[in-house]
Amino acid sequence: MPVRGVIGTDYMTVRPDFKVIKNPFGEDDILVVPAVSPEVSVIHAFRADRFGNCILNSATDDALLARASRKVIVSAEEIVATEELKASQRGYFLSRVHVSGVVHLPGGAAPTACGSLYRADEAVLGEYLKAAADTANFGRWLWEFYLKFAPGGES
Amino acid sequence: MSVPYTVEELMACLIAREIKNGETVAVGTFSPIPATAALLAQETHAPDSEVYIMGSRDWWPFTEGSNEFFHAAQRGRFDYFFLSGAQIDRQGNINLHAIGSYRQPKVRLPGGAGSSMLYYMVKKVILFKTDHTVKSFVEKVDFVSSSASSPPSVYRTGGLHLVVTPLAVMARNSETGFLELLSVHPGHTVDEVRANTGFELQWHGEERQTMPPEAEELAVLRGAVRALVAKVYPAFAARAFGP
Repeated sequence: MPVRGVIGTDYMTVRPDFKVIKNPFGEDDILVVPAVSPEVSVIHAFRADRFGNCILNSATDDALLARASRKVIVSAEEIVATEELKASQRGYFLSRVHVSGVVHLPGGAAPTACGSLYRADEAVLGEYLKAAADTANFGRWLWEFYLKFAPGGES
Repeated sequence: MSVPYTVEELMACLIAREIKNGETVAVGTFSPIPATAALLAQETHAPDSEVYIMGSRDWWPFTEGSNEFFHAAQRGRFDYFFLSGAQIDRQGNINLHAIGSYRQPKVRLPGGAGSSMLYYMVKKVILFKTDHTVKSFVEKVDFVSSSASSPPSVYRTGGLHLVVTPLAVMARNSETGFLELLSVHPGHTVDEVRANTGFELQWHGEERQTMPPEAEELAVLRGAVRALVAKVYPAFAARAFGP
């Protein structure tokens, strides 16, 4: 993929996979970078149908991520019928073509925000930062966080 | 002496005055001062300007994420963008990546994101820094995440326009390639600015004092603009404006 700029920065010295070529359509030198192709992406949707069609937050790059990945798991705040999904007024429609599986997971974006549905939880993000300072601590914190959302948990 | 003002108000006024009516102004994340400046310009002398503020609901017309925004930038669609850096050097290079060595950094910063492209493709990039110290303005950055200069063979339609700090305004001398003083803010001295800059700083033309905010600018800032900024940066809007 071609990208403007970058040539002249130190990224060129630390990324041997970044190449400079002559622009075949112009006179200039241009940077080309290898595509990022994740094995698996997990993205969170406002809503999805049971076939994998979904409505994403249009401010994010999740649709691009889905198209670049081999396997795509969509978690969704709600599962609705296809007709209802297609009638959605807001958000970005991603086709089931790019989706491998769907999970119904209300609150799945927490502790980060989910569009206008809920805000980022600053207190929990603060805990996350503190816990992430050491590995053992972080494992414990993550398990406790998971338990809150596990079936039969607090929420 | 004019009405007292905060340093954020001053910096926002200085940036806003640069924006001409009809220009397209894009503001990135964690940029409350540039967002304030863009909205101030729009509320005063630049009503026909386009303002995009990343992370906002009201000033983000893009529907396909930052991907769409960066593609528009690569097409040269933006007149203004605003960058900062943990370090800015004498040549106007920016470091948003690492303090110390790249492999074993003393501090690993968030990274350059799109800035290594934006610095080339946005017509006028304004650097803003909320501190002006010898640690932030250095002779040479530890890692160049955005380069102020590039080989002539590279397509480049934009670059550094101004540097705005709590003490002064600087610009790049096109002949020497070095940052120079454009004006020093009221209440500060040239010696103070030089003592807080990690490289030798000369005057760009004659010595000048920064024009402080005018009463009218402050009235708009503290009225309409503060209310708009509160939609994107509520904590900043509550703290950074005068009474």
